[in-house]
Amino acid sequence: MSGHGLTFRRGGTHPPENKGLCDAASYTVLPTPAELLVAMSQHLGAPARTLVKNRDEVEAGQLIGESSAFISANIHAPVKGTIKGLDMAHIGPVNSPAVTIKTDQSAPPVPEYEREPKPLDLAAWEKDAILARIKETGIVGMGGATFPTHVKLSPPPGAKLDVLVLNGAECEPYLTADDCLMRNHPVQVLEGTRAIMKACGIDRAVIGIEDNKPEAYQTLSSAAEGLGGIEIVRCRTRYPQGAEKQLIEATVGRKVAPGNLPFTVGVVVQNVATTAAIYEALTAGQPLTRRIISVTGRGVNRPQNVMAPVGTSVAELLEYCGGPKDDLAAVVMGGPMMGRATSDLNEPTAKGTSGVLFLTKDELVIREEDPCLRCGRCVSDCPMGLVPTELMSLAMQGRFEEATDALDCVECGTCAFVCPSNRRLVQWIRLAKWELGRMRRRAQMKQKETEAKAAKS
Amino acid sequence: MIDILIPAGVMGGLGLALAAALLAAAKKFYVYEDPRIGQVEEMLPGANCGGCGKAGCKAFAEALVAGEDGNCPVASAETMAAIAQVLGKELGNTEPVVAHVMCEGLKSSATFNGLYHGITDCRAAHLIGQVDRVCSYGCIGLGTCVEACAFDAMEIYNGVCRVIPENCVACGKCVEVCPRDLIVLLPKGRQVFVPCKSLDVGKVTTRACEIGCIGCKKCVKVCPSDAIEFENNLARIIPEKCTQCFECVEACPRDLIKVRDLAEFFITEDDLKAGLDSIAKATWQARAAEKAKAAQAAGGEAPEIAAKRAKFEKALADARAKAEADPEYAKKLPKIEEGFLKKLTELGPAPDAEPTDPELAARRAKIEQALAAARAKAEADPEYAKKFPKIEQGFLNKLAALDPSSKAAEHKYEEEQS
Repeated sequence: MSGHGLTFRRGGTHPPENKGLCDAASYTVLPTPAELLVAMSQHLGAPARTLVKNRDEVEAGQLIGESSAFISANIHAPVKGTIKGLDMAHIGPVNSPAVTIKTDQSAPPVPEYEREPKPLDLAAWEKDAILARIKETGIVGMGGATFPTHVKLSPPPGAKLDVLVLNGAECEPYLTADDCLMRNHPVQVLEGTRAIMKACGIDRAVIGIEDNKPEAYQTLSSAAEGLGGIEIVRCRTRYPQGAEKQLIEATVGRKVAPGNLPFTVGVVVQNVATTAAIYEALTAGQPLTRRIISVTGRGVNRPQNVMAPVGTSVAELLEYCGGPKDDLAAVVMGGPMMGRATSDLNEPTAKGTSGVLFLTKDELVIREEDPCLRCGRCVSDCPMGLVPTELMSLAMQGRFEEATDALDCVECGTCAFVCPSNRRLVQWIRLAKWELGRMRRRAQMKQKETEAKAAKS
Repeated sequence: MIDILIPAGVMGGLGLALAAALLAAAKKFYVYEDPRIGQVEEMLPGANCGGCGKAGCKAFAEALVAGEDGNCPVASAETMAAIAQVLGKELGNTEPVVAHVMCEGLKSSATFNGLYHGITDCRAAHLIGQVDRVCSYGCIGLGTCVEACAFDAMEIYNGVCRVIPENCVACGKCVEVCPRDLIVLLPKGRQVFVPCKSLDVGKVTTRACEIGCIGCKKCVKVCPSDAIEFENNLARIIPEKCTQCFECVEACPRDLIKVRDLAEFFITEDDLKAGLDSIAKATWQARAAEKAKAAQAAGGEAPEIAAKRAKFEKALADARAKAEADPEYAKKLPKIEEGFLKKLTELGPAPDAEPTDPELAARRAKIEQALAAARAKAEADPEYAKKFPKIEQGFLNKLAALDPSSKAAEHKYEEEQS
């Protein structure tokens, strides 16, 4: 096994970990909530097309939303129940069609991951069959970006892949969901890894785990003994190690050029939770309808890892974990660095929800913004080598077309975290990214219109 | 003497030579520019706002002279007419438009559930999601459009932005910048519209806002000219089809549908409370009076009322037919029926109903009373409710038999009498 202290070279920071709050040794299964709000857009790309009508009966695992484009994913009913209404789900800025499922309380809740899993018989699986099954079961990247996995595992022709990098870094503070999964279900992770290796024709896989998770490292290492081609490496704890490009640099020492995707250096990256989902899809045909979520923070009474069906509301999780403490001040979907605050306790969880944070006033440091000191800390700490302060100024002045560097930003939040003046750097850069996208979409539309006009005349 | 003449001669000669060169250059490199371009540019407002879709006023003038069609949103109709005269041609659509914000979730009507600490920019706030109010579709009220407006035509009023129509030149800057596509350009003058963009189902909208569209479709049902399209829980009025009869304004249970003169109007708290605003009220009353007068003159019903009556009667018959085919639906029928009958009574007695004799009226009243009692019982007792449709049908048959317009019924009645 490889040495200690591997990490990426440029920038990064080390925020307080706070991982002890949420015990990673075990997790519990949430009793099925009375209602689930399952969004049709839980992934990057086009929302799925709803297949059910009001008052339809659905079985656990039934397909209820069909992938509607190349970049899109299937959606399944997590448990047995009746469709109570076709609603809208509001997940951040995305207003997505959704279905409310009134669950059948007599039916069993979502199953735990298998405690004594069997190794996968990979000889029986063709490469294309694996990809087809992944697509069928609606698996998306569970690290948070929710990119449809079957698309990610099919790189453009001509790309030569030779290493699979698995993200067990879980560099976000507070969250322990991946840690919990690796400690409890190493076989699923490793077998899923082998499935991906086969699907992509790769014979080397590297699982990167930060050194603040020694148990996960131990468990996976001993489980991986005898499995050829899978290396477990320990990385020095550093944020944002779990970002794709940083993890590649830390584990296999390759650098992905700005604007390029990992396949250009022969690497494909997956989250460990995704591999476990793939194992289940291949063995039991289980679609991605549940996941381990870290419900944590000092604002909740019993922080813990919970296995919950997708579509569970934040309020349901909060209630299950003992309710709020008196000084609860904010609810954050995801980790504290990249997560997004929500003001709506009805917001449903989705395939990419790795954690729900309940933060108290003390944890939630809200400070006034001061003028930029030009100290350059954001520049030296930016892992992508950008100049965040300049991008922010450009965005503030509305000069978005000059801020194209912003498209390289991974929104890790390091710049805003280290800024001594509390500038909201990431928010401005995210705005610039969004505006650039909108400008591009508008230009495309305009071009189409002129083309249509030209075709007419 | 010669000392003076030499420099004068040299300078003069040099001057002449350079003048000749300039003249030659001017002749050689002469570019013809249509004098009308300058003329048109002079007449345009010179705001260089880009509202016409061109880079600026000069570019727009060039395009106009080159024969393109277009409209300057800032210039008045007279100016455009004058420009048209200079160009000697008709200019396309010059209907003046004005921006309007399709959200009226003021602090007094929207529900708030959070505190926003981020940067003061609607787009950035939108990327987080709901920000501080429950509605995910409404105005965020941080004023990005106010900042984008070059004509001081936007302001934040009580939590949402509003347009100041006299300043608005409809350049479209605010439309472009709004992350939630809430601002639209509507023709100036009186408009009937639904100032809401929420696609949520009624239950959720009710939680989020006091006036938002709950998708009850009442307006669609009452609209006599099919001018309301309904999609994704939201009604939208098609201006080209709307005849401004205000039926929908009256019908809207949320007082959301508004009639406003967009050239003069901007929302205030009072307007929200008033529901129907003054223009609508006056017009509504005038229209009702007119209708009554017409009905009197014709000695019958005004055509609209007759049409409505026919519509309700048809719907009622349809509902009954459906109830017979579908037992599920039959359970709900009494309520539906009641609603229709109520509406029919509201329209007043049908003019062709002949004055009935008192005995007949008494019988009718008796049956109707019994029916009402049965209905009340059905509501209280679910067992009885199952049987109710049949019982009701019996009563209704009796009522129909009493109808003097039906010859057969009359005959039967006579038989019974004898």
